[in-house]
Amino acid sequence: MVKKKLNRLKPADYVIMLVIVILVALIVIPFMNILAISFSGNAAVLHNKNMLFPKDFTGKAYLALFRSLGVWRGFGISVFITLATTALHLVITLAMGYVLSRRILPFKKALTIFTLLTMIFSGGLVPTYKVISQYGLLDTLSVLIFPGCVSAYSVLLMKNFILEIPDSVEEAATLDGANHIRMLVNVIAPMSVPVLCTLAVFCSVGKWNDWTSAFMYINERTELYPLQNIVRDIAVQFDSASLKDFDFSDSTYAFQMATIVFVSLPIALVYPFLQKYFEKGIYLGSEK
Amino acid sequence: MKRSEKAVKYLHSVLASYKLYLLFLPGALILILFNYVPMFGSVLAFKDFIPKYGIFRSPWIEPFFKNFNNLFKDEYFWRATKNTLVISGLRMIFVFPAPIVLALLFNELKLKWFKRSSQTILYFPHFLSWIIVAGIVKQLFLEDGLVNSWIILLGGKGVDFLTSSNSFLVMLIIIEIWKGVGFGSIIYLAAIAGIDIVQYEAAKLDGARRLRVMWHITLPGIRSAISIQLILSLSGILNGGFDQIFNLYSIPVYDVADIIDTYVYRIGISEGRVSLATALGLFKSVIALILVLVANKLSKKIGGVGLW
Repeated sequence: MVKKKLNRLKPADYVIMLVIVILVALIVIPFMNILAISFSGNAAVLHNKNMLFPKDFTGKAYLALFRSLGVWRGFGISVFITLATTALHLVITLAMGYVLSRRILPFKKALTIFTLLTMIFSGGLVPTYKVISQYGLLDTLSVLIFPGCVSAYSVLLMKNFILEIPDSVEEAATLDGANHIRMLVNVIAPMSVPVLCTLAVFCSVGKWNDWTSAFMYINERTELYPLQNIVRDIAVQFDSASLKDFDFSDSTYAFQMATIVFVSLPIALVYPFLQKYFEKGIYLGSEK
Repeated sequence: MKRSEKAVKYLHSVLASYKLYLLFLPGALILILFNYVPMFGSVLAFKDFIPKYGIFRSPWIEPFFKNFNNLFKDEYFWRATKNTLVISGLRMIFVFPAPIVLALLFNELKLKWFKRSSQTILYFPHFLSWIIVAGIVKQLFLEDGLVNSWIILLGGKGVDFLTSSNSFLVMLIIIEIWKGVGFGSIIYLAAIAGIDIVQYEAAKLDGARRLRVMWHITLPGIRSAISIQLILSLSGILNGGFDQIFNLYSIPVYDVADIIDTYVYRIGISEGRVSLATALGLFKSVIALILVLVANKLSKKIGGVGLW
């Protein structure tokens, strides 16, 4: 294999790299600040909050965080609804995508339009709230899982992907005596793993970050609050009424920052492994 | 075939497909319950909502357009609409081109490791929730926060970033670019990758320099991607970004920051003026629909590409 001749870097290249470096710094520095505050001593933080490295290093804020039952409960709720919603999302999307990809199906066009219409129209904030309220779903765990678990866009992606699967594969399975369920589970699903992974990534991230559902639909039973909403009460709104369960120990600010770090951690940890999935997701989406 | 025979055959195939319909059912049920029924709930815009009777038994309001009348007489409605359009306009001018520019810059990078690692870092903020970003922003821009201490270091005065109407909009745009420019560039990078190499080589032979290549080859090459993103942006022009604004705004900046969605939330859910809020929501949806259709038609005419 012939080695590619290394292009000499021209001044313009350095300028471009400088611009990128500045952008990267603009992303990294705020996080350094947040991390630093979360590990800094009380007096230092009260003095000012501009440190990039911890001053008077202490893990007190995190200790207080890990002792907070409320934070762990929120974490548990978030983990549960993220897993539940994603699982539901994958199963339903697979099923619907499979159905819509069948060559012969009476009323297929109607079903397709039925699905796609939800991408364009929606009820709006207030009607959706009133309807959910009339279903009796306010202040339940279900309202954090079911309303958003079906996405027409995902179904579309799924359908297109399944359509790409060679007919020969399906024919072979049918010859082996597979019915729809068998076909779906033993043939289509394994072949759809790339799409399913991409969908899983976006669904999980979306659900983990979802705070509006609980904010609007959970009014009385605040023990059902996902982590995002608890962090919101602590670090964004700082509504003293809802914070009585928390013992900030010494420094409120360090605790607030520690909460922010805590809720970002799962995403930050998993993120590097996901890059190829969401990049693929963009490709798939743009192909449609 | 006789008509009746055809009908029987059709019925047979419908019955034979019952398993497929069964597979489709759960998802369809969810869509009906949480998407379609609320759509019908929009009739609230034409009703005089009485909580006791729920949505469908509340009486129709006299005259049927009274809620809309009240809406158009409401000064905060006009303020919210103005704010939404201003913010969306600013977004079009500043936020929309940013990922395109970044994609062009990324495309010029020669060192693979530098490109990969900077992309990884730049994509990250997109995956954070607005709660996290709002929390970070609030800390950074406190009186004694990071940004102000740098300003003071450089000899300036501390600035009131988030609570003054003057700077709030600027902050909004900057933060939105910060969060989305990295991830937004992916789709343009994908489009750039699809441009025929031959064009670049021809340009090189003609002696074209970097900027010229960008302007005459790269940009036109991703024209369809830009068009589609533009249509999507236009259709979202009445949105304004509820998540971001709701977490960052406060009463002092309502006069520039209160958008349609935040106003709907306040009067609909906080204040319980359900009919008015629904009317506004319906109004917004209809306008948004018209905008999408128009934008799609325009895009097809000019660029040859549309969403459908």
